[in-house]
Amino acid sequence: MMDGIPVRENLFDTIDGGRLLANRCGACGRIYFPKAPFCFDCLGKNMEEVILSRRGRLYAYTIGRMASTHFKPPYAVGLIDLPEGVRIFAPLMWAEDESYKIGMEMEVFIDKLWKDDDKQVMGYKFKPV
Amino acid sequence: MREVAVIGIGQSAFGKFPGRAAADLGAEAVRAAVEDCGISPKAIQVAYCARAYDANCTGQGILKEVGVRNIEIINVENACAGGATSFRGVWKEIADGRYDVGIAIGVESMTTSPIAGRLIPPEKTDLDGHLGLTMPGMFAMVARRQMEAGATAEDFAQVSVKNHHNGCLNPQAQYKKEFTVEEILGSRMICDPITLLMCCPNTDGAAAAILCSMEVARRYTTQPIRVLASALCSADYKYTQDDICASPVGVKVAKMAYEMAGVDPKDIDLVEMHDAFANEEILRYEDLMLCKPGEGIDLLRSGATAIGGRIPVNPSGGLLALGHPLSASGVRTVCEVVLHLRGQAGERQTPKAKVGLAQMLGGLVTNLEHGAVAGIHILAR
Ligand SMILES: [Zn+2]
Repeated sequence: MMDGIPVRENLFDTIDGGRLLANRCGACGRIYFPKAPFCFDCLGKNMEEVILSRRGRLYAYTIGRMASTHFKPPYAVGLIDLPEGVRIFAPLMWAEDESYKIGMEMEVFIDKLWKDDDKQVMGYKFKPV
Repeated sequence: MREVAVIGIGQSAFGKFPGRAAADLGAEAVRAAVEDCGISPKAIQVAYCARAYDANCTGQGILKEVGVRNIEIINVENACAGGATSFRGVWKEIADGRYDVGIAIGVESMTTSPIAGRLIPPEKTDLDGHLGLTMPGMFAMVARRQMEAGATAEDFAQVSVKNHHNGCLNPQAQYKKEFTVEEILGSRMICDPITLLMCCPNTDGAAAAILCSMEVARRYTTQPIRVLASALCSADYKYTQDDICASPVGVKVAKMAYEMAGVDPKDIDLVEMHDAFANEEILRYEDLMLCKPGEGIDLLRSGATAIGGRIPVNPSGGLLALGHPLSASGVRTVCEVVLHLRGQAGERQTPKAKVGLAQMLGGLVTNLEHGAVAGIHILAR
């Protein structure tokens, strides 16, 4: 269970510390995260759920020094490549020493994001393994 | 398809003018374009006007200030490529033979827009935007990848040094100040490794270009500038972009434009392009095939893209120094190319310029490549 509302429905669950929910086109195999209503490539309608690997590699990152819509600086964000061939954009766990390196192994976890009208919004982040 | 010429160009002042309406800036650019070629505003049969923020019917609001009404006016939005889209719209109307004379306008009042002094806010459905993906953040991550491939923060700063130097030679630039690499690197950090002086500023301004059939052009000038190519395309899904440093849509549009113009990248004498972030310019050298893939950094370091080099890029000062009123820039880049082809670019003139290229790339849309649209025009004298 989560103490808060998910940033978007049907995006992740909290099993094993957090899992990202994608779907795969039954016809051509293309994987989508967030889930696609149908395959944008081949327009196939037969989509099956795929639970993405919890670990991947950091493809790129930056430390934000200027506020974004919901995050005060400094905050870290990055792109993580998962073994399924999916690249995820996500907030990264804040590390005081800013010790992120391209290629390092990362793991997804579920964390508080921001508050909307007193409601805690929950979402996925990545942290170094 | 008929050949189309540019006969008049105009630009408003570029800067921060919170007291001036977009229509006022637009009218300044239109008046300058009309004076530039001596055509009567009454001869204008069709207008395209690009604006991203805010209000409706900006084209009508501008053209009523110069006595133009009761014509077909199309208002367009296409992020940073809005101006390129409006130029292409007028080009199509004339090339297809529907009209003989038209005006392309791009205008933006960033200081009075809802995003004044802020980063562009994400749409409600833009998940990544809400999770902290911003335009400078995207380009900062791109910069990290460039650095993996051998680029340094000093290289990115060097682009900004070059373009600010060029801006000093342009009376219409928002910033006419030289900076050193150290000053660029030492300015406020926005998103590591992108500093404030590697980001284009918020700017108000407008640009306009009058296009016509070659037959009409000869009545007004002995030196019409020909539009050799017009290409515009929207981006693919982002999963097609293995390497975030490359812009698949940018490469695709470049190939379309070169093929249509029947010119080789080595025939281009100058380029005006989207340098919203300093590191971006280096990537676009490769998309536009000004050098071989992976050699963008070498091209920069060689000095080839500086004024006086083999292929000057952004001699106007670019978005970095001249300023970036989003929808105006795509028309303004064409105006700068025209100035060089006419030999009227003053101290920043590209010697013997015969062929020039104006490129724009823009828009961050969830699930699409960053740069949701690319537009390129190739012009020649
Ligand atoms: Zn499919």
